[in-house]
Amino acid sequence: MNVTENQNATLKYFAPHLEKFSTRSKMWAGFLLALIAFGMFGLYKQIVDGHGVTGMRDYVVWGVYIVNFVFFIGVSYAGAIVAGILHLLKVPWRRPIIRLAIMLAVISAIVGPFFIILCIGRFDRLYYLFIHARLQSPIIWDVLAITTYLVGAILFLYLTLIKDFAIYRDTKALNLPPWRRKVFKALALNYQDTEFQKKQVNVSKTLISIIMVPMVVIVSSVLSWIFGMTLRPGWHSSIFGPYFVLASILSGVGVLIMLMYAFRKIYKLEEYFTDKHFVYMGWAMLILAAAYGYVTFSEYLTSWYGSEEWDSRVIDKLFVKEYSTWSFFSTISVIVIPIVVVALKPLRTTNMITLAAFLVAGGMWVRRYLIVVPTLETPLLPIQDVRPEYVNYSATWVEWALTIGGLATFFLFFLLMAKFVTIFSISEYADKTKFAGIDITDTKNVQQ
Amino acid sequence: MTSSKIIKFFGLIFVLTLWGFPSTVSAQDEESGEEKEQIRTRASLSCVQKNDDVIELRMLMRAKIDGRYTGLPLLDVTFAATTDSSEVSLGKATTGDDGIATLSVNAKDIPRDTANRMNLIAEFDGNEAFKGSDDDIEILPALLALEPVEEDSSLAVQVTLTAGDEPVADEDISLFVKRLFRPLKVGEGTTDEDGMVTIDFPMGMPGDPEGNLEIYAFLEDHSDFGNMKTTITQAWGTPVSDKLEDMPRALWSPNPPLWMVLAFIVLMGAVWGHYGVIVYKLLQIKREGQEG
Amino acid sequence: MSELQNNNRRDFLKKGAWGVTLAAWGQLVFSCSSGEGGEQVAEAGDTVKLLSPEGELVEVKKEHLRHVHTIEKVSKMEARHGIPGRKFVMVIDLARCNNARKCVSACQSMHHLPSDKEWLSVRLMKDSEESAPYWFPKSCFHCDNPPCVKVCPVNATYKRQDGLVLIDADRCIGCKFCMAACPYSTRVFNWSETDLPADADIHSYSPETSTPSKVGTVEKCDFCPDMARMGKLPDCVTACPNGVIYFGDENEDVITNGAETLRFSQVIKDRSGYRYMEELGTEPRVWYLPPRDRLFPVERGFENLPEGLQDELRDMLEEG
Repeated sequence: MNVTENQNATLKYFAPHLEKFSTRSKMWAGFLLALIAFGMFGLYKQIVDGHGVTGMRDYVVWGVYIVNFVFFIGVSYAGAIVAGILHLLKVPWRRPIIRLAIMLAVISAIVGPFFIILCIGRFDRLYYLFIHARLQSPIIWDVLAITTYLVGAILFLYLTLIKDFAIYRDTKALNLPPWRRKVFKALALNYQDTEFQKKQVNVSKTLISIIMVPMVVIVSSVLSWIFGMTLRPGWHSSIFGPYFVLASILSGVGVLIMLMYAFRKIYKLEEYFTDKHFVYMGWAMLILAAAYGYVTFSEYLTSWYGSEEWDSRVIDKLFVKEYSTWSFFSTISVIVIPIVVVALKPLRTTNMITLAAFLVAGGMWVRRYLIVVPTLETPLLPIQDVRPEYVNYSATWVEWALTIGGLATFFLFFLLMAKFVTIFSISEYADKTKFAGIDITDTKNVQQ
Repeated sequence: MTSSKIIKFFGLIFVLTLWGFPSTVSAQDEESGEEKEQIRTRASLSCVQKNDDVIELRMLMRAKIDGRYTGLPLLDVTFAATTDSSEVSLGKATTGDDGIATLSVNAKDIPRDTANRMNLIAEFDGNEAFKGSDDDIEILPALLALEPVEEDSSLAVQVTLTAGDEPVADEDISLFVKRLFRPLKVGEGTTDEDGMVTIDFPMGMPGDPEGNLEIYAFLEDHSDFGNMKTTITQAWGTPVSDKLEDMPRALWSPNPPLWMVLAFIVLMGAVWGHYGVIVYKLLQIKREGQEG
Repeated sequence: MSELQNNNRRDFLKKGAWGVTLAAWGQLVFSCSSGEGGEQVAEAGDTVKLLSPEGELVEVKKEHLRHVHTIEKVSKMEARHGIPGRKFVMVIDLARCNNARKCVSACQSMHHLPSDKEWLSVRLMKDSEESAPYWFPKSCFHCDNPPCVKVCPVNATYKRQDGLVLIDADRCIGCKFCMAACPYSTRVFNWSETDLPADADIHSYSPETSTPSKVGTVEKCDFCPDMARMGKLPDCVTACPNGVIYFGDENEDVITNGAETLRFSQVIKDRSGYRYMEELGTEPRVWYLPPRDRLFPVERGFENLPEGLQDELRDMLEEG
């Protein structure tokens, strides 16, 4: 296909990143691999010595692993829904964000499930989930939901990449080894940018976006139903579906803003990820934070006001007793800070929005912890046990090692993806006449 | 080897490994000098006269362990009947988990003395660990006859207790119905001068699939007759099916509710259908490129 | 034997009180006998002598003795469907419990559990500030609408037609969802190999015996269907010195604690039997008789608890 001057210029700019690993990126990769190795050592201990090496016990049967699982899967759902909505709305500023969002969706949806596997006592029997599946179990719903969703997200990512693959195949701006050209050739599926092909790609993207948006709502509700279907205070709530949908998107938007900031810094892409992008994403974060705050308030108000005995014990732990500090911190960082930062004009800077996004992401992790652990520590019958590790949960180094390892895997995937393809779509910038100094929010420049 | 023997064998191996072989040997060495340290046992013999002319002999072997009498399993007990002049061996049995050895004997095979009494004796000979002991009882044969009485709205059992054609009065008879773990006492009464008592039986007692109930009258620990037990089977119960039925479609059964299966098919069909269309379009793109 | 016991309650109760010693001791003999010749046991202080199949007399510490039941092996299919025509039910008389904990240790010994793993536990309950505390023995409730079975992704835990909820540890993937779903904290997990006693593997596994434990899987009280198949009561029932636990078949409408045999429907009607937290809708198969006219002061039960727990529970009582 024809590669425009401007695309070649853009690719030339990215060439050092795409063609080889710089010393700096090698060091990063090494560092991440070391963290992953640390996680693997934890995994080795867990396999050899059993789950006793974790902080999980008979009352708190799930811990940090499931918190990470919910976190990553939530972030992933956010990536997919952001990509889908941006595509459908055809908003002018969407172009640099869609690919990053859908990459986030795919990568977190691959990393997340590892954590649920870590929770499972017998992962040698994992395939039983397919050969003995019981449709009544929310875990089976989740297995179906996540696999179906992951396939969709990969398709979506592929659709946003197919034109770029054709460009990488045909451009002279990149000096790629023959095997990578071959890979790109295969992945480009003979794409020549004919009218028919253009139409098919666009129709497919619209189709996947249409299916992706409701699917994310359903699958993140399914994620919440792992908790919501049990008879436990703090979990057994009809609001849990929407609660998790909002929580997922909010945390994911936070992570997305951080990624935009990171790539903008590393690749010096101020012209692509402009301050306006941050403000727009900031507004999205504000709306989501407000909605999340509303749902959270509604959830806790209901059980506090109703004050059933069992409910009250959990509410007490969350707001008065041992978890009150964390509750306070996470409420501030997840609900108050994003609203304040984005609403007040002097604070609405890229740096401040990114800081707020960081607090949102971290705070959302804490909120998930506060959903999982205090409820499990509050069974119906009083715990009368002399073993302190059975009464209260505290994560061990093995769990933290694997958490860090998972996070490192997440970043390593991004690093490798950024070495493989450009982090935003080159093809969408085909009719730009200038490389630098352009206002990409100008509708005239947006290719539909 | 039966499975229980295998279990016993491994049980032993476990115990041996726990202590290690050397200590086993030394324990064995010490043992030869400790022959005298046998434990005293206590034997108690009882019997049940049953309606089918069978006498069930029951020997309970116990020993005082930690100051408590405890049943001794796996001891061999020999049963015999004596008359003034002779002794007839009736057979052997081994005590079970509870320390009880049971032997059923046909009443006709037991010799009687001049007073028509049976003199029964049971003996444990003793072994390396336990001293021998024995016990004996004297039994007068008697008959506990059961007659079901069905009236319009009530059920009863008429019990007659006779000893050598003579009715026996003033004896407490209990009526039981057999259940899975323990029999259920449903009534009791005292025999009149005709040796008779009528005991009501409750309506609506759950029975087997045909409504059959195993009902028995029991005379406990009589000084002359020992225990007496006569069983009849009556279709007086409410039938309870013993068939396994198909599990309903439910959240807790292996079969999911139909709406759930439908929702699953519709949702998955819709999503994967879209994926199918998209993959088809990708293939079209590839074909178009080849042609071009 | 049954009518003997039935008619001599006092004797039974006495026997029951020593039930645990008896069981452990008697069964050991059983487990170590060769089946031929005069096997026997002698007792001297802390050790027990026993005769090996080779005719050697060996001495073993009593705490190493374990209860070994003969097991009727059933197929996985039978273990899934249950015993035809039965609907097992348990009734617990709270007025009689003094936390003797014999049920707990009998269960542990029968199922080869370490001493800190309880399938059956006794909790101290105090429903409100004014109400009197009482001991609350709690097995698996074998609910008719079991929240644990609902959520199992692989059909490893299942409801049988005889009312039992069992676990097939060969199927269990260890996701622990059932543990999170059970409102009664009934289920326990095999966190590490060290949880498994060395002698447990003398049995081959069946969901009806639930033993030996398998690492990485969930387990719980199984209502001892292996015993019921032999017409025997579970060990927790026979071990109780106070006859607290009644077990039986709802289809037969009879429950028994070994000494006393009663009609289930009558007991529930006459003594206001109730199920714990009926409002959860789980429909337990375990019923409770309210702690009315108690046989023991609640204080009696503290003696059998470890020191730390005693203090903790006393604090709980003071707080109300």
